[in-house]
Amino acid sequence: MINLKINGKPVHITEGSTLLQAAEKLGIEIPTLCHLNGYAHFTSCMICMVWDKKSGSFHPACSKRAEEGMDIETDSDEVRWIRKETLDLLLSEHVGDCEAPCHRVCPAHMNIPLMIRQIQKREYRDALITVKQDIPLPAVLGRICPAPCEKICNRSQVDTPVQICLLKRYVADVDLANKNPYMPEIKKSRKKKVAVIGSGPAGLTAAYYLLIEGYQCVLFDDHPKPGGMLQYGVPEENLPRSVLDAEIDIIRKMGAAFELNTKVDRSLWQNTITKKYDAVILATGQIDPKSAQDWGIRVSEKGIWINNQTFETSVRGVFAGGNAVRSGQMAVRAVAHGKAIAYSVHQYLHKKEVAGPPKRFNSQIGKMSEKEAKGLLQETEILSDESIEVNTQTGLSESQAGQESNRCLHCDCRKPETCKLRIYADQYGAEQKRYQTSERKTVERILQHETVVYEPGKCIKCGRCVRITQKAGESLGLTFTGRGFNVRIDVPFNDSLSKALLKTAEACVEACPTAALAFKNTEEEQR
Amino acid sequence: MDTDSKTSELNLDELDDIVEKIGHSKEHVIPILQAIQNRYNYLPQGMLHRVCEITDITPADIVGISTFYSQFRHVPVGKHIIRICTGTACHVKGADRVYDAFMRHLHIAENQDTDPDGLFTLEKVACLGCCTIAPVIQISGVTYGHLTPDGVSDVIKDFLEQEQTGQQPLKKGKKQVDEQLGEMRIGLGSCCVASGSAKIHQTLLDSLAQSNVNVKVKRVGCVGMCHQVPLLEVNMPGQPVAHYSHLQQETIQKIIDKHIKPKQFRKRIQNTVSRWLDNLLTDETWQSAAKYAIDFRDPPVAAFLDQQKHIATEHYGTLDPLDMDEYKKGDGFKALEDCLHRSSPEKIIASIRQSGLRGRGGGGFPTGQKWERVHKSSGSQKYIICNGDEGDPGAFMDRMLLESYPFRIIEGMAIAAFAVGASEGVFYIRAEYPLALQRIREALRQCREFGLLGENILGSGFSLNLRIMEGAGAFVCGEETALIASIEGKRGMPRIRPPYPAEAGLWGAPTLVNNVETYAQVSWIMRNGPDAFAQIGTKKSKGTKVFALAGKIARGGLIEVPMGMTIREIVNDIGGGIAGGKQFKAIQIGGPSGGCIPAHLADTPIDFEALLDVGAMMGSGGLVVLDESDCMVDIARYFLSFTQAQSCGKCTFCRVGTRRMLDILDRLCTGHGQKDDVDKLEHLAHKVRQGSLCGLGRTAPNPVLTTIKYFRDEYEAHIEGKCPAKKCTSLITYTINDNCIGCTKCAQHCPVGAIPMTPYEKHVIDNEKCTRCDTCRKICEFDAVDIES
Repeated sequence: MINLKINGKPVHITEGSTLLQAAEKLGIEIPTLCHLNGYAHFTSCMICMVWDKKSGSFHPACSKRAEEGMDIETDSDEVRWIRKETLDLLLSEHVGDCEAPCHRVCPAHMNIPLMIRQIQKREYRDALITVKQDIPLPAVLGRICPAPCEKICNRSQVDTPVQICLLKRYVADVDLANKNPYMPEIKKSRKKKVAVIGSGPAGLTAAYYLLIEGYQCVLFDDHPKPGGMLQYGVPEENLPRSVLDAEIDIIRKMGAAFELNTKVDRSLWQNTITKKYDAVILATGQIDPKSAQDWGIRVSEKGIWINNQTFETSVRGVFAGGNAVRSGQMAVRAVAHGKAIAYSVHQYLHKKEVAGPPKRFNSQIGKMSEKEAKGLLQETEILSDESIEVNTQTGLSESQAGQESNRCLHCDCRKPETCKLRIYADQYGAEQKRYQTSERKTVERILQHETVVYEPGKCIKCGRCVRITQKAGESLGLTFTGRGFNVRIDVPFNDSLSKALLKTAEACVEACPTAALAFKNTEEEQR
Repeated sequence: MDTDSKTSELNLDELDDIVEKIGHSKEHVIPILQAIQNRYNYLPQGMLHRVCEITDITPADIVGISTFYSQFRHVPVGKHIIRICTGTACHVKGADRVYDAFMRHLHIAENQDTDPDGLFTLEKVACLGCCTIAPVIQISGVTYGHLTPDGVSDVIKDFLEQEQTGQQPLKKGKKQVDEQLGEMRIGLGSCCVASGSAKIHQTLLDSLAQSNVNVKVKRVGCVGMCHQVPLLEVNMPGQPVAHYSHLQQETIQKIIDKHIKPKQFRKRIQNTVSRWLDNLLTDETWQSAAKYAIDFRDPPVAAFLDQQKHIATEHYGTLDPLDMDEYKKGDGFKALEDCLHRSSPEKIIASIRQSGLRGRGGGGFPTGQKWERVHKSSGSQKYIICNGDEGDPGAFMDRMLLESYPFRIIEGMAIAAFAVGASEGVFYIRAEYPLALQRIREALRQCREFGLLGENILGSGFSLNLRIMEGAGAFVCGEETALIASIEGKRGMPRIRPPYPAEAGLWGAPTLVNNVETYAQVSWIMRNGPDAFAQIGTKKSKGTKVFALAGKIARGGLIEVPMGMTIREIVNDIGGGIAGGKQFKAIQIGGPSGGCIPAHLADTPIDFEALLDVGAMMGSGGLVVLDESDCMVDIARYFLSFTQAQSCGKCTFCRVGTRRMLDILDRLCTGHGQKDDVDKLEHLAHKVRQGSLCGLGRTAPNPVLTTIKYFRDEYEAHIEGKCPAKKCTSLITYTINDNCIGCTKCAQHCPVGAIPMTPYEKHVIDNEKCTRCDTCRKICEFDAVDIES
């Protein structure tokens, strides 16, 4: 038996055991990527590095034998730093977007590719639910949004971008035309009240998500109708008021109370808002600094001062967003603020630390080249570069929506939630750009297999799949080719992936720690 | 290339024969691939498919292995292969410029390696081991040294002419039966041959035959004085031993005439010749005599040899490498016999421990301790391996030892095998060393014939079988676990230790892996006793170390020095200082794993620990001297580009980390450096050192870290876009100063027409066209070309 210490705790383990096994015995988790239970260790990724205080050196826990007297640290600063370094290096050559560019640049961070795939399958209700995860006013935005998502769409490298905004509008219009439009499930009442000053896109959105969480919301507005700028600033021909009213009506039905024709003056603020409500949201639109100062709130030159992460103002329990903090913003930005505020308010009322919505690690490859984008066309059905003629009054027809959705290149990752590289990147605060010192490798997607897609750019060369195919006795299997930085995993003799994975397709996809090997159906579709 | 149609032209029966001869198991994959490539010059895919059909080798195996080792080619090549050495010595002497010149001259397009006519394929190779005549290239086996970009067209012309006239078959000298008058010794190591000694050898045989003189001509192994080659030693009775260096064919007859008295000629010599001979002996005005004749009593040469201590290179320059009788006359195999009959494994190991011998491959692990571990490991089958996968640019010690002293290495291995209890062994030697392979093969044959290998050696009951494995071009296979993987027929990827090979090595059995030089020192220790060895050297580093001394030095070559000698002594006393009157700047020791030691630390002794203390390491023995015109950032980039290319690609830090370090060095050298690049580089270098799996990755940052440590200002200058040594081509411009008289020589020689011809007027260089090949500056007789940075 070997005696050693891990994180100060003594552990006894049989000779020949690895440090990883010793840590497991203590219930201490060590991250791994290349390690695969039941297979010979490979010691390539180095994410499992631990520090031995006794010898003063790092060891890969997956394969380093436990030695008598070792004094191992698995989570010290040094260990976290070298793991971050490992991830920075791995990510520096990672050719893949966790989220599609459209998804990433959408101020409301809407999962556009997922919506599109649901439209492809004509699952319009699901598509709407996807949209409403982030945008409670899709029929409105579907008509007025300047659509930054379309400007970054990789499809434009081949012909024209996917008409995302119209697809969203299509989904929303279908829903509104329904007898029973989608009503999100409302959680049990939390018996807490939130005052929302202003019923424009920011205020409506904040109310929408707080209502879902079970809070009571009262929206104050000095106009006779809710909607703010949407109601009083946008021309009717761009946004028919019936559409706006219909989407506001849903929020009303969810339980929102509207105090219209009500100007929040000093007395209302002092006697009612700050006294009877548990939290306040300032979504007034552009605001006169004086009235804010009247309420005792700090202003900056742009508008109300806020903490950019949490949307908290200088007064505790008071949050602000939309044009109240900076004038002239897009409606979709106001929507994004509204959702973020709802998140912070929820944290605040839940007595948690107010931190704002979490920001996930996002691998980014930048703009694709024309050649790369063309390489992805094989996954789309429509290859023509003729954009679809659209009647701006009626939007897309169903067949047009179907066609348009099939033009999407599926830039987003197929394993956005289970990819260990992303999980660890979040955990260790990895920085992808730190070592991006030379041109990235080319985007490549191998689709020969019926259900599996192989993206070499996402491979971390851990060799799990190579070991699996070898052990299973695949006649072709997979192999490492080349050496050094140019090493990659390929099918021998450049044969087809479908012949390489005759019996191990599922095992390989499951074992692959990234989305280098993934099922063609994305995670959300497998659920 | 349509592989299918090609397959039909392939002779698959021939392949079946190859496989029949080599074997059908997975471990035979590398020799099979080598045999195919020897036959077809590349690996036709149809052949590889066939191998998978008739052996246990799978498609995954064969593809993985054939793409790992750089020896293997998957596409057909030109008729001739031009190998451009990119070893350290060649690099500092302008190999890149020579490469560019070949690309230009042969009209090879970027990203291509073969000229449009399919006649020449250009290939950069790690090191041809001819460092003293750098820069060096090889065209289909013919070696050219001292190349310049300007001389490239002449080389191609010469090669094609030679090819047309046909090479003369090597003629053997007339069989001499009657009394021999004396002996002439000529070095026939690879570097001697590269500088023309084979031609000299032939001329000598021809001339002697013509003169009907009965003198024994003996080829000997490396003489060590590579800066003087081709070198001839003349031993005539009644005459002092004479040495001739830098020999040329024309001089041979004169030398013969000088040493052989006219009365000894069977044919009468004309008086004129006699008179001329007298001249040669006495007349100081005959210039070329001084040029070619050197004498060991000359101070520089005496210094070169006096300071050395020959243990691994014992009897240097006198032994015929394959003459076993001669080896035995010098006490050869005496140590083995003693060990087998009058000693025991325990006693031998105790002696090795006592001698203080440490592994000469670079790491310096105590040899006795390693032997003891293998000795004590349980297992009925144990193996012994000789690591001859020397691949460091700028190092050729192992090659020279294998070529010159094959019996000594075999003897050392046999003693080691007896001590640890191994009965099977492998010589792992780079395929790039054909002469070493040939000599070891022949030496092994002789040893088997004389009962020095095989069953029941010298009647002792001890048996040992040794075979050769040719390395296929992967520097990482110098790492012992990668080397073992390679012998087992796998990609040469290292694995974590423990288990060490001493407990679980080849085929999982206890295995002793030592370097060539380590084995070469064993018999001396056993014959002279461990104390004699331990007396030489420092407290912790005993005995001697062989170095390949090269670079900007007056006298380069193969040297063996006692441990503890200082760098300054090596550079000044043995090397004769810096060539060309330039300033001594630094030495690079230990190759890509080692570091740069600046001139102000030149009193650092050759000692494992002392070298580590200054950030370098002993390494396997490359020692390259740098002068003021060498850019340290460029040197760091050079070594890193080597290790980066040689990384096996397994662990993240080495695979990606060394690449990122190289990226940063690349941008520094091309004027794209960023403000925090030096800090970033240093930081990453430390992480790569800490985080890599094997020694290759862990030591790869050394050249970078030592140059940052000692020459940080040069790095900072590169960020500003300046190269103080005026070496980095992107950071310099060529201009012509007022010394120019308008002779047009530069304009005539400029390979890219960047200098318009303006006779009798000061010339001007078009910097847009200029490729910084340095031809104009070298050729100008008026010192009129300046480099600015």
